[in-house]
Amino acid sequence: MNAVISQLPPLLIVVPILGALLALLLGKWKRSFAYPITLAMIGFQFAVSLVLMESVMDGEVIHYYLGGWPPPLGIELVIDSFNSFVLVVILALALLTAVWAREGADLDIVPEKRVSFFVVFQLLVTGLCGMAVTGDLFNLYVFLEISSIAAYTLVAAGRNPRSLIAGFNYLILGSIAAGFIVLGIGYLYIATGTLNMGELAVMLPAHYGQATVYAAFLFMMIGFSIKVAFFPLHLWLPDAYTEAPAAVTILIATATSKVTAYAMLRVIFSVFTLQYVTESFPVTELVLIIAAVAIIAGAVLAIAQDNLKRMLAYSSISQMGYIMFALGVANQAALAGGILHIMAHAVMKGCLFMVAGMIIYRTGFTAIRQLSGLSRRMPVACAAFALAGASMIGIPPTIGFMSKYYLVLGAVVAGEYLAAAVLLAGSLLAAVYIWKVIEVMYFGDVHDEDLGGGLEAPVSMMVPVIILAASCLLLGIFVELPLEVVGPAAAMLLGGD
Amino acid sequence: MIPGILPLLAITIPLAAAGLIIATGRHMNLRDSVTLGAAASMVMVVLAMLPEILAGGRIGITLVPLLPGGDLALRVDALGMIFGLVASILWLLNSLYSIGYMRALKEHDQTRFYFCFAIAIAAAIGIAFSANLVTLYVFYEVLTLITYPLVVHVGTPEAMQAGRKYLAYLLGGGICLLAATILTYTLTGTTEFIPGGFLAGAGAAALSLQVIFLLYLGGFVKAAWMPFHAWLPAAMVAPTPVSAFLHAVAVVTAGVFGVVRVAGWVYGVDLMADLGLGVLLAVIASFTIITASLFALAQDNLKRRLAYSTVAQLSYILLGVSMLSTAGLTGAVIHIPFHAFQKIALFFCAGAVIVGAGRENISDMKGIGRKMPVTAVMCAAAAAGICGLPPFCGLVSKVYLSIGAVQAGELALLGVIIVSAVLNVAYFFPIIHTMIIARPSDDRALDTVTEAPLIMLVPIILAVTASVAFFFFPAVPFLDLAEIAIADMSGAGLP
Amino acid sequence: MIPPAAIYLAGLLAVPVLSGAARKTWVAGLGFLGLVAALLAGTGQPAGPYVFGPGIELVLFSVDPSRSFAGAVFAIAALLAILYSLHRDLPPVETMGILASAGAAMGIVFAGDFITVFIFWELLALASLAIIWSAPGSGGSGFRYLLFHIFGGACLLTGSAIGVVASGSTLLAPIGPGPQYLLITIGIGVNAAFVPLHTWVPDAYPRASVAGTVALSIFTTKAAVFLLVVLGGWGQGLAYMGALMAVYGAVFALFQDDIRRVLSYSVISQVGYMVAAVGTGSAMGTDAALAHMTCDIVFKALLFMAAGAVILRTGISRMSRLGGLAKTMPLTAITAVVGGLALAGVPGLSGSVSKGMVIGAATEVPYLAPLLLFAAVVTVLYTSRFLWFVFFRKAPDNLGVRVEREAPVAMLAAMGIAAGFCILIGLFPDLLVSHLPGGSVAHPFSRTHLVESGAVLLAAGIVLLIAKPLRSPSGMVCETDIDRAYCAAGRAVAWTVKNPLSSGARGIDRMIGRIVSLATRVSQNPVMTIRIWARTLALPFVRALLDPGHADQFESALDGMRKRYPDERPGIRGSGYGLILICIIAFLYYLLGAYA
Repeated sequence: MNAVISQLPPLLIVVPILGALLALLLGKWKRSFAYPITLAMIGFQFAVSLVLMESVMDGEVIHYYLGGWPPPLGIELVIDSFNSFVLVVILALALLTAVWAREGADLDIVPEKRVSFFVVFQLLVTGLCGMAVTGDLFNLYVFLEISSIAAYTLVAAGRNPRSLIAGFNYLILGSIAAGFIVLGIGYLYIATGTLNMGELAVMLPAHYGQATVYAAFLFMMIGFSIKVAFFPLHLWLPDAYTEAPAAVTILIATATSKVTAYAMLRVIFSVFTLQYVTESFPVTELVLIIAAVAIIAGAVLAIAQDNLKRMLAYSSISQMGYIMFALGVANQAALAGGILHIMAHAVMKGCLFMVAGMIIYRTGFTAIRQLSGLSRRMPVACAAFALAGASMIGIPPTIGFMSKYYLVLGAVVAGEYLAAAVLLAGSLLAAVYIWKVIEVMYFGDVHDEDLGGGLEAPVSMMVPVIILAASCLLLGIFVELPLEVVGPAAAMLLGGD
Repeated sequence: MIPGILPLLAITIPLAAAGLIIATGRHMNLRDSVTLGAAASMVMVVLAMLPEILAGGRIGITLVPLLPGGDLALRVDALGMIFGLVASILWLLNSLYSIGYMRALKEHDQTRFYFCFAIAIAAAIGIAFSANLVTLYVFYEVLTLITYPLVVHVGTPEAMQAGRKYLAYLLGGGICLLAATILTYTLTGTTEFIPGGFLAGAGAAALSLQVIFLLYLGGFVKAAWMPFHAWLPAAMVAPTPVSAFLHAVAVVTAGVFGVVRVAGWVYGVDLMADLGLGVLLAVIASFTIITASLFALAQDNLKRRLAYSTVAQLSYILLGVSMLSTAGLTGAVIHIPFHAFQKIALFFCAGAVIVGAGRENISDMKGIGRKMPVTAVMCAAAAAGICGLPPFCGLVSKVYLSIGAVQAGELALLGVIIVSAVLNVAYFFPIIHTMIIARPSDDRALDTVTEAPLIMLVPIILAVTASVAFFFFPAVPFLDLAEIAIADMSGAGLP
Repeated sequence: MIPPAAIYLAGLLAVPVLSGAARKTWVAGLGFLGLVAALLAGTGQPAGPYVFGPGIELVLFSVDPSRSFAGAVFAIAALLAILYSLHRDLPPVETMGILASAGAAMGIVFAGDFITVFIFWELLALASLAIIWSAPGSGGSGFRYLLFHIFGGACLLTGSAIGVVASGSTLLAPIGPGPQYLLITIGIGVNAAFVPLHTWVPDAYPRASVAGTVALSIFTTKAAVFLLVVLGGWGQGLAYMGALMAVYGAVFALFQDDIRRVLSYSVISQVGYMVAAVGTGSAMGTDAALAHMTCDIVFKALLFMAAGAVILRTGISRMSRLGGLAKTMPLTAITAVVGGLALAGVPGLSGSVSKGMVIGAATEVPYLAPLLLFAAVVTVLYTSRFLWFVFFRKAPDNLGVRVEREAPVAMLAAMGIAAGFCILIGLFPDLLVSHLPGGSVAHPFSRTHLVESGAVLLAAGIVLLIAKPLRSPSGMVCETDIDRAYCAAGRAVAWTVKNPLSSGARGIDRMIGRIVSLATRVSQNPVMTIRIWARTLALPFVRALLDPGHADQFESALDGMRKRYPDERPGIRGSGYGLILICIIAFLYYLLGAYA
């Protein structure tokens, strides 16, 4: 592979950090500079990630040693089909979110804070990239903390005081989770004396019997479960999503949660191995059960909500259950479905949250029942919501259906018929909570006429929404494209590459 | 011209029309002429395929690779052709009619209405021409969703309630269908429809195959078999053209079509017999026929009575399938179009009465035929047709079903046919009597009543004429198509 | 050459567009054409099978002596009925009904296979329904009529289906044993008014219009009899059914007050004779059946015509209120007497010829002839009652309108022709008998037969002298038949459908709805719901144990929760952290379990 590409990975992180500093300084001087820089940086990252994915599609892996120090001393960045895919997805979402935020941010960010908001925004994204590309466990932890702290601040950055409480809530639980994770990493270091994922994968099997390894595994499991809000450890999520600034909600719901899920899968399958989680420490069954519960519980709670963003938040909990479901089934089809669902959920949930944000931006409505007859005022936004919603339900031929199909297929192949049934039931429940909204939007009659007719949000908010909604459909119809990456990724995780 | 362009065309025409309808929404006449034009050209396209199908050929095309075991692919064969013809022709009639209806009643959101209609018909055609289970499922779900706005068009709380019920049943059915599809795929590694079925080779346990069939049945809840029929009468709150669409053009037809498809092209007649699925189906169908007819007796709202009659009539088709004999299957397959043509006429009449007299309850329609003779007479004719009386095509399928029952050696089913024949008459002819014979309760009762506009009468007359024509020439084209289809699904092994 | 059925069926299509005189001429013309076609039918070529669909071939037009004979008879009768119906402008539907029923009957006569028979069978039912419903106030009886015949038709269809599959051909053939025998017997039996499937006759005929009744009385039952003849091979069971019908109908006819009800039961009784004749199974029996069918069609139609004329002029249909019409309607009276005597089997009139043949044939079957003779006696009784009370006794004062006029010309013409037939055939039996397919002969004036008739008449006279009540019009009237049972059954079904079934379904619906709404409400805030429920349960104990102050506090707190529900305030959720800790502990426990 040519030298340029092999040098790309560090740029993915270094450049944006410098860019963030630049944005901060220039922003102090002239406020309007901050946003374009952020946008440019994220765009740059996106471009890089695309190049990287293109170059690793054929299954080869890019290793980059920071400062030229090979592991175990140095830190290694690794790009393979799996994380390059995740990179592309989250950066695409981040980019769209940034575009959306150009005006969307004004919704609950006071102008003075605008600069710092976008700087932190960019740091968050960068931290996520770091999590995705690093090949070193402790380094992973560091980036995790970077992104998390950025996330806490962003959540709390909103105008309304509740966002403060929510942010604090998030902070406490996030820190607990981080504590668990760092403990786990420490135990692994004790057991093996290395922090490099690749080496760990090689060395661990010798120590599988040890209690330290068990403990390490468990602590990391718990930590990550809290981070990804895996039921019943989700309690920070609803408030955080509901009260955070709209743009932040979108970013966390799409990028953060996905990268964390990626990290979890990566640790479980690349550091530990399939054989470990199924044989020497059979945890998958348990995960599957909890995932099933999560799917149902999240959906049921979502049905009950009247606040749109809160409803979507609970739906996220349910959807995260799908990804964990893949982990629980742990075979080719299911993992492919899970990874596909990482993308699918990012796309459709991003679209839904964006629409929710636009509604608040234009009307200030947060309760579902207030939305009645909205389709007459914001036809495009509502159409997008309907499309993404259909994808959330899993109506063919949307992307949501595809990932669900693979998950069910995996479950059936694995003989987990009950789980498959639960998953299908989950999508039925999803139909219920999505439809509650669509029904009101389209068939309720218009209240408070004084709001008038044309309420469509500005173009900068509309474009990302339309792109996402369209991709819900197109990615579904041309699902072959993502599958070219997802299939190998799943195979790799299962150690069959 | 590439082969296989035609089926694709048949789907893309209404889709394109949908776009145009949105675009031209502001100008009523333009929009409606778009609908009509699309409907007409679609009929052309489907008819253009007819000769090759009648010659025993098939037209296929693969659109995009979608999922393991199922590309998004179309294949037109005799059975699909029957459904395709019904859907496209009746869509044309229905478009004519709904233009008259919607304008007469000054309905709101007409653009949305026609938009959904167009997409729904595309989905229906997709179901008819689908080459494998996955494609079938895809279009099936699309049909479910896109008909929802039609069902709740009125927007009253009652309508929304009905809409929820509609979705609950149909999406639930969709889930079952998905599960069944995936299970089939995991068993056989394909979901391609193969004449004579492909599950037999799977070597799976009988029990699992039976369970899967139950899932399929659940999936085809659109066939409104009892006790999962409640969505159909509930959906009667919709405007009449929609009811006609649900009951004749697409939705329920899609349900029974699916059952036939699965029975003949997934399981295969022999396997069905070995697994005792025919008996199961027969029990369900018989129960539905009798119970639904009894329910129909109790309804005073004309459209609701018709709805229950549909439930019963659909189970005639299931009954025919359950016989697994040549004549039985023939009866089932031809009852799809025959019932459709007569039922759509009935619903058109019900709508015409709503427009012309503003009445929905049978008890209010005394002597209405004096003011709206055409509607009343056509209604009588269509009703007689559904009862299987001459000279209407309903009689043909009745004859075949009876013979089929005997061929299958299920004489008990003859009892069902007798009872339901009597019940049909028992709930249909009172309507005729009230509309045509009975005297109005007082002299001024009919002052407000006028005959429906011509644009609504024309489709009614056409539909009834068709059902008479099919009585005299049943072979053209449906019985011939049915023959090919039966030969497809059975080979020679039938009694 | 054209099948007669086609003429009627095609012709009726023009009826709605014509009106007044034009329509009348058109209809009459159709009648004549039909007659011509029927007479020529014998010479015609049978039409080849028409392939209806896979496995089903229709033989729409097949010819043999008995068919062309019956065809001619029906055509003549149809012509009479049409002629009679010309007395006024009938509603077009009724005219179409008459033509359609003629056509359908013709279709049945010339049909060569079961499916064709079934098709025309159903058409006949529809046509008759049209006739009945054309008269005001006939809704109920028309409906019952249709139910009966659809049931019959369905039985016929299913029965023939079995036969067709068994024999592999749809052609008409004797019915083998097995379920198809039962089904087809019921199917035909409904139309032939087998007891107890007969109730539609006295129910519907009296309610149709006067012209309609004539048409009804001609086609339905007789077509069924002819089908019995064509199929053949029935066995003696049928003969006894015929005897039962003959006796049953006759006896009931004796106790009627409504003149057309009398005649309706008389139809059942006379059809009984034919059925009995067919049941004997001999060629002679078949001929007898055909002969009696011919005669009965004519004189029964004649009587119905007369009754119709009376009703038309007086507006009264009850013997107890009629009388003395012989003075005002002499021609009607004369024709009626001819018809009546023919029915009673007085020698020299058609009835005695055919009835003689029937009884002659019946001697082959044990006990059959005596039963028929008994029926004949009763027939004489009710006929004479009918004639006497309507025409000859002194008119009661309460006879509503004073009738000054004779029946309309059209009616008189029809009645005259019919009466002529009765007399001609009575005097020159060969006019009829020579055409019979079986080539059997009749000896109406043989000594035995004369003695027989004489004995019957004598017996009847004696009974009349003895039984006083028979001499008063409303002496013993019994208008309840088993149809009461049928109606009760029908009402029962309707009730069950309306009450238990529908309301039950609705109940289930509601229940599901409640469950769903409850679930949604609970899941709005599960934790809080549980707390509320727990506190609600605890409330009584709190009341009992704590002092009132605390109790009220507790309750108000509970109410507060109920009001707040579901509160969605964000905040540090103590319970949440508890939950997390529990999970962690559980997880660690799991660790130890896995490790140990």
